[in-house]
This record gives sequence, structure tokens and C-alpha cells, in this order.
Amino acid sequence: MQRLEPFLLDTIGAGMREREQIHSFLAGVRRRLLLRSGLEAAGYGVAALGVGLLALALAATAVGPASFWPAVTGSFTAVLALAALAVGVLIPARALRGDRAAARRTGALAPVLASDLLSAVELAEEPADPRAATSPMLVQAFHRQVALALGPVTPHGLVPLRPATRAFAAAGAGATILLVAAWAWPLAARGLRTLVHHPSRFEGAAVSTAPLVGDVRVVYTYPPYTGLPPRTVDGSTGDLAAVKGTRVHIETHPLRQARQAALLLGETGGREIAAALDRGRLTADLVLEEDGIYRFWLAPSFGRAIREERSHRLTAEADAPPRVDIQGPADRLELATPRPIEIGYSASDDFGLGAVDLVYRIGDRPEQRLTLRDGAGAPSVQGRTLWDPPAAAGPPGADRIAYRIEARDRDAISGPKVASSRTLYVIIQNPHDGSDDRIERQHDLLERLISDLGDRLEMDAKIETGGGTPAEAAQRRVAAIGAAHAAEEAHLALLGRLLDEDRRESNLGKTLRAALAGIADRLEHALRDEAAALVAARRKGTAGRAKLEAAAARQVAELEADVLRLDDLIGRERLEDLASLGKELTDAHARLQDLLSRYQKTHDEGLRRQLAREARELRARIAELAQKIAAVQARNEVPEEWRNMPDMKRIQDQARKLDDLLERGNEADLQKALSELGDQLSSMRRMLDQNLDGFGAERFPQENRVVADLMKKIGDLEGDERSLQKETQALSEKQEAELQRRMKGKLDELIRREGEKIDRLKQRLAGVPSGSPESALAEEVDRARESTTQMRRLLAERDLAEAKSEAERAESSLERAGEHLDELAAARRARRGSEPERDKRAESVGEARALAQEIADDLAKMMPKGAETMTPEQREAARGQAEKQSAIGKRTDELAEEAARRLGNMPGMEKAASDLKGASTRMHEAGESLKRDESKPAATAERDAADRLAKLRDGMQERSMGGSERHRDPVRIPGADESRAPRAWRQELLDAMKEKAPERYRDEVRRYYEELVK
Amino acid sequence: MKRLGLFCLLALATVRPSSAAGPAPGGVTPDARAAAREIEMLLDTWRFKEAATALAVLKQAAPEAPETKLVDGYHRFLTGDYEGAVRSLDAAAAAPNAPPDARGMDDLAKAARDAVHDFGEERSPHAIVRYAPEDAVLAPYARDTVEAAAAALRDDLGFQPPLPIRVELYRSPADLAAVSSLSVAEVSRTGTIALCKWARLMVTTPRALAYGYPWLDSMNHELVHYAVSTLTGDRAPVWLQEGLAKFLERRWREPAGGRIAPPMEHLLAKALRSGHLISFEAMHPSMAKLPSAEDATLAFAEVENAVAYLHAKGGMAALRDAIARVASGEDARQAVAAAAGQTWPQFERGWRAFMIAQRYKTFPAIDIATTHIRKANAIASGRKPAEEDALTSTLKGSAPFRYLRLGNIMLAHERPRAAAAEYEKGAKAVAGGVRGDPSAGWIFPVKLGRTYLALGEPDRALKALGAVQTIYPDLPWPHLIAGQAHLALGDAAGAVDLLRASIAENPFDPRVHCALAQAYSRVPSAPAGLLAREQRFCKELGAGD
Repeated sequence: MQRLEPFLLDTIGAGMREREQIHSFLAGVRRRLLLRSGLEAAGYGVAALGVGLLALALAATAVGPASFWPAVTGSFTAVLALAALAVGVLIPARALRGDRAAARRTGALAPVLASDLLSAVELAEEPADPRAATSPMLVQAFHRQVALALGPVTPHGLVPLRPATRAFAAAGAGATILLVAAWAWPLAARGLRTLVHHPSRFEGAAVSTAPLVGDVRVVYTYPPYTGLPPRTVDGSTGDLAAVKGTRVHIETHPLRQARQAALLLGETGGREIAAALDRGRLTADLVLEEDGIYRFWLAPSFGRAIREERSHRLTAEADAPPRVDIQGPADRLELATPRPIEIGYSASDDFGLGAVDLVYRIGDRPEQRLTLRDGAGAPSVQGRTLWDPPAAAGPPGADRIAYRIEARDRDAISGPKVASSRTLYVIIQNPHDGSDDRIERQHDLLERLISDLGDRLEMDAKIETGGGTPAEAAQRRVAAIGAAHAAEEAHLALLGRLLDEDRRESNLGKTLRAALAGIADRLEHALRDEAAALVAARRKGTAGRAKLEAAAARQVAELEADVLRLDDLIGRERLEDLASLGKELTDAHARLQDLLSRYQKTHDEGLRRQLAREARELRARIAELAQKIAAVQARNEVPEEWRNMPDMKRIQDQARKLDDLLERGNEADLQKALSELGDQLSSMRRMLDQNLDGFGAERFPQENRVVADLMKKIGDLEGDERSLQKETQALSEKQEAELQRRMKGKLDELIRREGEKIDRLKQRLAGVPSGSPESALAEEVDRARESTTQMRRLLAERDLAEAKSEAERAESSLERAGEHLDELAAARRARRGSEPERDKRAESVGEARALAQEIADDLAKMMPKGAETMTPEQREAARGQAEKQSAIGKRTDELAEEAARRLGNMPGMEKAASDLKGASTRMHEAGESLKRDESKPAATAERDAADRLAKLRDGMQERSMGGSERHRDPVRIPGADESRAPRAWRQELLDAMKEKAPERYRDEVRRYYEELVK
Repeated sequence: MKRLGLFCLLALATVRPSSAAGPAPGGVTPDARAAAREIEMLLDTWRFKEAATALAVLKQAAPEAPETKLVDGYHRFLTGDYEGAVRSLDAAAAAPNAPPDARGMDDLAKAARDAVHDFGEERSPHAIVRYAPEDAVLAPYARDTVEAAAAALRDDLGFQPPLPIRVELYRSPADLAAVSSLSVAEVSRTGTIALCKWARLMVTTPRALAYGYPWLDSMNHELVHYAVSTLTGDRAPVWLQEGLAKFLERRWREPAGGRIAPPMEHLLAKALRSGHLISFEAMHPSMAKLPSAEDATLAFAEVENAVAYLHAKGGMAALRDAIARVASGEDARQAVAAAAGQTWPQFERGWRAFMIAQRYKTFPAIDIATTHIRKANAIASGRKPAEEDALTSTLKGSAPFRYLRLGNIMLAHERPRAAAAEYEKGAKAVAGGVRGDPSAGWIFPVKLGRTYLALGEPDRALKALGAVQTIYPDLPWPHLIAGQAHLALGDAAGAVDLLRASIAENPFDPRVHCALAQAYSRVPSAPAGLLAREQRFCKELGAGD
């Protein structure tokens, strides 16, 4: 600019504008060309990418998943993109760089402008040689001309984008093909996924159908709580199975060269466990937490990794919950007062038991528990306990205590599992509470009947005082009868409602129900007659009155009978109630005596507390009795002659004194006071019993007659049975004598020899420490010791048969003792986790058992069979006795049926029928023994049957019209303690017990037999 | 007496030198043994003052001798110190050379001690009454009766008791048997309820009998024995003892010579008719040893008539004369005959004629009261006697009993009119069906009497009781109801006698005391003390109901 002259400025300025115009035009053309080229490159590039990817996908499908595919795919896409960029953008941009190139390209597109435009561009450039400079004015004019020529031409018009549209169409086609293939062609779709998927080791590995490892050795290390020792499995298939939480160590040898190894878990190898490779040995560790599968995976130094086609199983065995069972006196035991209850329990677990608890709940209160024993890992425990259910201090009425046994295992992995037995119930309900309510209802009814009867009886006097003519008096009488009739109908309806209610709720006793139903029937009948007579009397006047008087007289007679009947029932119930309370008190006192003597021996604090508690309970019961006696006296419910009541104040004072002494701990005075209280309570009970007995004898003579009749029949049966027993006993003695005779000469030697064995057996047993006296082992060992003592005695008495039975019993006991020892050993193993030292007790028990078996065998060999020791005449006599026994048994059965029929509803006599059945069963057994020429067991069974009859008769005598048995003795599991089973039957069971049960059922079978023979 | 006393002193004087010479082997000298025997004899004849003096000498001479212990125990036993008696007798029985009767005596003393261990005691110038706590109501009547009887006996026989008369009222016949030489079976069989032995009156409480018994008469009966034993030196035979006792037993309340009780009359009439009288020999050694209560009752009737005949011949002087003759050692029959101014055969003939002249009659179904001893539990319960306790099983098994029960129920429910209707049915049914049952004869009249009283109809009540009062004088309830009826009719003085008669049978019924209090309050001459007493018992016994 410094070189331009001022005069040229206008010209130059105009020239500059035209040059700029040309330059802008050319720049516009250049941009347009570059845009079109870029669009075309992109379009075709996309089309190529689509086709290329499809091709690659097909290839990937054929090859399978591999880690390189994403790289290939990425590379392909990048190359394609770069190519498109170069072709579409970089190369065209380079070609159109500068106005001259743009002018040439424009010229090519618009040939009319080609020369001028290029010239204009060239003239606009600075001349390289100043001498060749042309006139600016000319140049300027030229430029103006070119600019003018360019005026109608635009870059858009000069460079159309139509070619780019085609490229886009190609791109669309390419993309469409790819998408359609991905959607509609699974193969292509899988290929496409493979192209972008980074595969796992499992996916990426080649699959080997042949095993990759050999010589698999597995070492299981079980969870400590199981108490199981480690276990090694050589030559394993690789399948792993153990309780959950077990650590597993795998050792094997890869069958292929590998630089890396792993265990791929699951169907897709989702989890891996690293394996170590060391000098051709592969090791891996895992913990069995859940079921699954795994495969070995090996990576070679070169090449693709490989994995097994077939998987190995992983089985995490669940620790099963314990099994637990409970036995109680009854599923639903009803008690008048809390009494100790015998509970039997058994629990087992696959890997060892933890605590065994007694869980109980009083009413709706929270559960409470009492640990009965710690299983300490033993596979099974069983036992019996006496549980004293607590008296709930709740509102009066029934206390429902639900109780069950709960056992836990010791699963430290998943947490201890708890199993519960079925739930039993004990209902503690004072029967006297119910009886009060029942008597109250009867009393209410009686009051109404008395009122009705009183109205009728006083009717004449009232009519007489009314005065008036005889006709008026007669009318008043009809009206009075009508009024009484209406009242009685209302009371009958009330009675009907009471009976309906009872049908739903069964709150009246059988006797009362029957009595009330009878009253209702008879009253209804009499009232119906009277209603008809009333109608007639009202219609016919004098003519109908005679009939009405007769009906009214019958109604009075009926009311009189009903009043007396109901009064008798109420009186009896009241006296029964008092007598049974009296009995409870003497029973409670006896229990206190027992507790005190035990306490004096042991000074056990628990006993003292129990003593205090039971003394308090006794005092409460005495107060209850005092209250009832006062009520009976106040209410006049019992005739005065049966109201011989003790001085309850004196007894209460004595009971209070007992409490005080107990608190002070003065044992000597306590003993004296308790003894005095006992005398008072006995005297009180005697008095109450006599009231009841006298009342029953006078007011219920028919029932007493029924009882007396049945007692006589029972007495007859007993007499016949005893007579038969004498015969059988005589036969048995002869048979025994024959046995002795046959064994003469051998017997002394046998007794001496077996005596020595028994001594040895005793020694063995003496050396068996059996731990807690309540343990099952101790029980069995004690039984064996007892059997041994009996064996010695029986042998001395030369009773070989019984001695043999005792030997067999000892053998069975020792067998069970051995089983208990096995269990203990298992439990110890569980605790220590290793094999314990051999238990010496097991050896002693084993030796003792062998000795007992030997003695039994010796005796069996020596003893002739039953029939061999009887003459034909004696066998004939035995048959005759069997027939007699059968006849007596039949009569007993018939009497049992009669007792059920006639005594079933009578208080205190409900069990007579079943007791008779029991006697009959023993008779049947005696008969069977006689048929087998076994007179000795027959005589025993006959004596037992006769004793049962005598006991029943005595019981009936005692309970005749008396209260039912209620006491504080423990409620035992029926048949758990007393051995009432016939000896022969017991023997059969003992034989059966010797038969081995399948291992998994052994415990159950043993427990079953134990329960049967206890 | 004086002579005997001197004899005792002489006998004891001989003891001293022997004692001084030293005891014989076994610690007892023959003299001491003789002295002990003498003291025993004095005690047996209830000469307590002489015995006490002699015993004091013996105790100084041979204090540790078993014989001394024995007589000391015996003395204590007879004077009511049972604890002390047991101590001495234990020592006597435990000695190596124990006297043969020490053990038996010891047992008796223990039984006596145990029977009265919790007894209360009430004293008056001539009486010491011991009673069980639940029988406290008996004490004042017993005490008053003993005083009245002692006064009568002083006037009639000239008897002055040497010591206060001890009366022990036992809880049951079993206790009576335990403290006496009778067995329980004998007591039960003969219905013995009171005894006079070992210087005390042993009486069973009326609570132990089904409807009480004439316990005050019985007590007085025993007191007469006490007097006669003392006056005769225990020489009077049983028949004379019982005759005098029976004849004088009501002297505490009425003049001598009244009619014998209906049960006796009944049995005597039957015996006279059949000629089966009990011989005097059969009455030895005790009436209680007779085979049955009926025999005993008949024997009593016979001997009472004998004494009544003597009394008829010579009044109380004849009785005193006979006693004095017996005391002097004369045969009892001769003594009695002589006192009557006759020979024995004459007396015997006269006595039989006297009995026949009384025109005794029999009563159908009359009850012998003493047979109704209550059951042990009824006694132990402390419950007062009730009518139903005494009913026979015959009645309880009969239809009328139903009406009795219904009547009782109605009465208990305060429906007396209805109750009366039922009792009337019962009475009618008895008339038709339960003849010969003694309880059926009186129970319905008693019940009806009570019910009519409740209905405010005293006249009907008296009418209902009718002959029952006469035939069954030993029943308390007819007297009670009649007394109440008299009271209701405004005859308070008449009521007092009847009510006191009822108390003399059964004092445990509060109603009788309430009625008597009411009667006393209406009789201006009645002592205030008696009124207060009856009011107290009315309240106390009523509270226990």
C-alpha cells in the first residue's frame, strides 16, 4: 500500500472489490465440491461397513467366539472410516487447494467461464516479474468483466449434490442388509454378537471331550461341629460330595502340557477357582457351599486354552434338622393340681445334637424352656424326666400348659437347626371349680322345683284363708292350679334350655344329665296331663275337677320325687367334692412327708424350695376346703346328719405353723408339726369319707346294690381263679419236681458251674462305671445287675427256667448297653474330631454280655421241654385246667361288659370294666401256657389275674360312691415303670429285640421295644 | 372311821423301826409292803384323809419302794392328779420288783391323763367339774346339779363328801371306756354312759348321744353311788347301790318317789308279765356287765322299785338305816329287810306286790335312749345332736322318710306351711306303715310341733306333741318345743321347767337357751345370774351354728 499513489486509490479500490468477488465465488465452489465429496465417501463407506460386518459375522460364526473378533471388527471399521475420510475429504481438499485449482475445476464445470476465470485468477496474483506487469486498469476491467460474467452463476447451481444422494442410498441399503440379517438370521446375529463379545475363559477355551486330568485325589475336611475326621478319596471321579461347609482339597495330574490351570464353576464357568501347577501336579482348594458343577481348564503355552466338556458334580449336603419325639402320660392330660409329669424323649441328628430342651407355654404367656440335657454332639439321646409343671398364677380356672421337646443340632455353617416334637398339653383345672358351677346349676333348678312344690302344698291353706262359698273356693283352686301349672311350664322350659346347652357344651356330668333328662320327661308328661285336665275343669266345672285334682296330685308326687332326686344328687356331689378334696390333702401331706424326709437326708436347697411350695399349696387347698365346708353348712345342701365336718380352723392353724417352721428351718419341730397335721388331715379325711359313704348307702341304695352285686361276682371269679391257680400250682410243682428228678446229679454241678459264671458276670458288671444314674447306659447296666442277682437267687432255688429268662434279660440289657456305649464313642469322636481311645467299658460290657449269653445257653441245653416233664395224665390235667381257665376268662369278659354297662356312669367306677379286661387277658395267657404244657408261667399268670381281681374289688370297696383318685404323685407315662407285661410276652419281645434291625432303623426299633417291655 | 384311822396310824408306826433297820432285798421291807396294802385299802374305801396321812409316813419310810410309788400314784390318780400319778406309777412299773398291778394302774392313769389333757375346770364348794372345751356349756349345769344333789344327799342320807366331788365329762363313750375298767364293747353293748369309780364321776357328754340323754340325772345317779360307797365303806352290793342311785337320782330337782321312766316301765311291765326278772346275783359285779342295755334297764327298774318299796315302808330314815347296817357289815338283804322291819322273804314278797301295784304298762315301739350313741365322726365334728341322727334304718328305708325329708327341705326353704303338709303326710304314713319303729313314733310329732310353732300355732304344736313328752321323757325336743309353745302362750314359768328339762337332756341347742332366757326374763323371781347365763349360751351356741 505504501507503493500506491494516491491518485490511483479509487481505481485500485474498485479493482479490489471485483477480485474479492471472484475469490468468494471460487471459495463457494470449493466448499460445495468438498461437501459433495465427503457425503459420497460417507455414504459408500457405511454401505461398505454393513456389507463388511455381515461378512465378518458369518466368518465369526464359523470360527466361534474368540478374543480377536472385537479387534478385527474394530480394525475393519476404522480402516473403512479412514478410507472414507481420505477419499471424501482429504484428497478433494488437496485437489482444490488455491483459487487457480478452484478456477480450473469451475472452468471444467462451466466451460464458458473457464478461460476468463482462470485468467482473472492469474491476473489477480502479483506478477513474478514486475516488467511483465500489465495495466491495472485493464486488469481491473477484466476482472470487472469476469465478475459480471460470474454474476448469474452460483456455486449451488454449479455443484449439485445429487451424486451424494446415491451414496446415501447405498449406505441405507448396506445398513438395511445388516440389520435385517441381525434380526432375521440367527447365524448372522450370533456372528455379529461374537464380533463385539469379549469371551470368558470358558467360552474362549476349546472343548475337550477327553479328560484333562488324571489320578484325582480328594481330601475332605468337614466342618468342626460335625466332629467328623478328614476323609481322603483316592481315584476320585472328581465329583465332590460332602456336608455344606466342608473344605475340599483336590490333587491331580494334568494330562496335557499347561502353563495355567483353573476350575471353572457352573455351567458357563461364571466363577473360577485358581489351581496351582507345580511340576506336573495340579492342586486346588474349595469350600462346598452349594450344589453345582465344575470343569478343569488348562491353558497351554501356545495355542488356545482348553476345557473339559463333561462337568464334575459339586454336592453340598445339607445338615438335616434333628428328629425329636416326646412321650407323655397323655396327649392331653387333665390334672386337678400341678403334679410332676413323667416325660420321655428321644432325639437324633445326622451330625450330632446340641441342647435338648423342654419348651412349655402357660396359657398365652411367652414360652419358657428348660434344658434337659446337652447332646454334646451325640447322634442320639433319649431319656426320661420328671417335670413339675408350674402352677400359673393367673386368674382362676383352667391353666393350659403346652409342652414339647425341642432339639438343636450344632450346625455352625448354616446356623443351628431346631426340631420340635409334637406338642402335648396338660390342663390344670381344679375339678372342684367345675363341680361348683355344675352344682350351682342344679341348685338353681332345685330351688325352682322346691318353690313349685311349696306353692302346690300351700295352695289349700291359701284357699282356705280366702273364705267365700265352696264354689268360689273351687274356682280359686282351679285358678291356683293354673297359675302353678304356668310357673312349672316356665321352669320346665328352663330345664329344657339347660339340657340343650349341655348338648352343645357337655358341662353336666353323665349322671346328672340322665337325671335331669328324666325329670324333664316326667314333668312334661305330668304337665301335659294336667293341662288337659285344666281345660276340662274350666269348661265342665265340677265334672272336670275330679280329673284335675287327680292330675294335680300326680304333679305334686312328681315334684316331690324330683326334689328328692335332685337333692340327693346335689348332696352326693357336694360330699364327693369334699371327700376328694380331703383325699387330695392327705395325699399332699404324704408327699410333704416324703419331701421332708428326703430333705433331711440331703439338705438339698431345691427340695427345700419344693417343700415350701407344696406346703403353701397345701395351705391353699386347706383354705379351699374350709371355704367349701362353710358353704355347705351355710347353704344347707347336705342333711345335718352327714354334715360332720372337721375343725378346719385347727387344721389351718397347724398348716400355718408348718409354714412358719419351714421358714425358720427348724427341722425337728417341722417333723412334729407335719406329723400332727397328718393326724388331723387323716381324721378329717375319715370324717369326710364317712359322710359320703353313709350318704351314699342311705340315698343311693340301688347303686350301692349294683356295686355290691358286681363286687360279689368279682369275688366269685377271684375265688375260682385262685382255686384254679392252686391246681395249676400243684401241677407246676410236680412238673418242677420231675425236672429236678431228671436233672438230678447234674443239677448240683450245673449250679456250681453256672454260679461261678454268675460271679464272673457280677465282677464284670461291677467294673462298668455307667455315669449318671439317669443315663440310658446306667439303666441298662443296672438292669443287667438286677438280672444277675435274680439269676443267683433263682439258681439257688433251682428254678432253671426263670434263671434262664433272667440270663436272657441280662444279655439283652447288655446288648443295649453296648449300643449306648457305641453312641457315646461316636459323640466323643464328634467332640474331639479324632478317633478316641478305646473305651474299656465297652470291653467289659462285651465280656459280660458273652457271659450272660453263655449262662442262658447252658441252662437252655440242660432244660428239658415242658411236655417232656409231664406224664400223659398231667398233660390231660393241664388241658382240663386250660378249659377251666377259658371258662373263667369268658365269665370275666362277660362281667367286664356288664360293668361297662352298669358302672360306666357311676363316679369312681369307670375303670372297672377295663380292669376286668386286664384280668381276662392274663387268664387267656395262662390258658395258652397250659395248652403248651407250661404250668409254671400259667400259675404265675393265674395268680396275677386273681390279684388283679382282688385289687379291683378292694378299689371298688374303697371307691364305692367315693371320689375319684387325685393325688400329688408323679403322673407317669402309662406302662413306663411297672412291668405288667406277662413274662412270656416279655420274653418274646426280648427275643425279637435280638434280631438286628437295618442300621438306620436300629434306634427306632430299639426304642420301640424298650417302650414295650418297660 | 375313827377306829380305822387309829389302825392306820398303828400300822404305819410299825413301819418305822423296820425301815430304820434297812431295806430288805429289793428295797422293800415286809412292813412297808403291808403299810402300802393298808393305804390301798383306805383309798379303795375312799377314806382319803386317813390314806393321805398314812401315805406321807410311808413316803418318808420307804420313798423309793415300788409299793410306795404305786400307792402314791394310786392316791394321786384318785385325787385327780393324773400327771403326778403317771410319774409315780411309771416308776413303780419300771422297778425290777414292780408290784403286779402297777402296769395296769399306770395304763389307767395314762388314759385318764390323755382323756382330759385339754379339759377346762370349774369349781364350786362341793364340785370340781372337768370338761372338754367344746362342752363348756355343760359345766355350770353340772356344777349346780352337784351342789343341789349334794345338799339333797346330805338331807336324805346324811352324806358329807370328804373331798370336792370330781366330775369328768368325756367326749365319747370310747373315752369313758379308756378311763374305766370297762371295754369299749361293754360300754357300747350296755349303753353305759356314766360311771362312778375311783372317787370321781365319769360322765359322757350328751353330745355323744344321738339326741342327748338325761345327763344331769345320770351324773346325780353316779353321785349317789359316790355317797353310798362312802357311807358303806364300799360294802353295798350292786343291786342296792343301783337301787338307791336310781331312786335318788332325780332328787336334785324333785322329791323322791316319782314314777319310773317309761322305758323302764315298759320293760318292767313286760318282765312282770313274763316273770323274767333279772336276779340280784346277775347284777354283780356291775350293771354294765349285763348282756344288753335292755337287761340293764330292767335291772335298774327292779332295784329302783326295791328301794322305792323300802322308802314307802320307812321313808328316808329306812334308807339311812339300811346303809348304816350295810356299813357295819350286815348282809345287804338282811339290812334292807331289817330297815323295812321285815325278813328278807317278806320284803321280797312285799316288793313284788309293790311293783304289781304300780300297774306298769308297756308302750309300743318305745326307745331305749342309751343305745343311740352317735357315730365317731359325728362326735368328732363337734356338731350338736340332731333329730335325724337318731332315726332308725327301718324308718329311713320307709316311705314316710321321704315326707320327712321333703318337710325338712321345705322348712329349710322357709316354707313352713308346705313343710307341715309333708310332715302330716309322713305322720299319716307312719300310722299306716311303720309300726314298731320308735323313731317313727316321735319324729313327726316333733317336726310338726316345731313347724306349727313356726307358723305361730303353739296350741297345735302342743297338741301335735301330745303323748310324745310322756312316752319319751328323755328326748330333749318335745320339752323344748313344748317350752317354746308355753312361752308363746304366755306361760313363762311353765316354759322354764320344760326348757330346763330339755337342757337336762341336751344343752347344746341354742334355741333352748334363747327360749329359757326369754322365759327367765318374764319370770320376776328368776335370778339375774341365770338369765345372763342363758343369754350368753343363746348367743355363743347360736354363733356356732
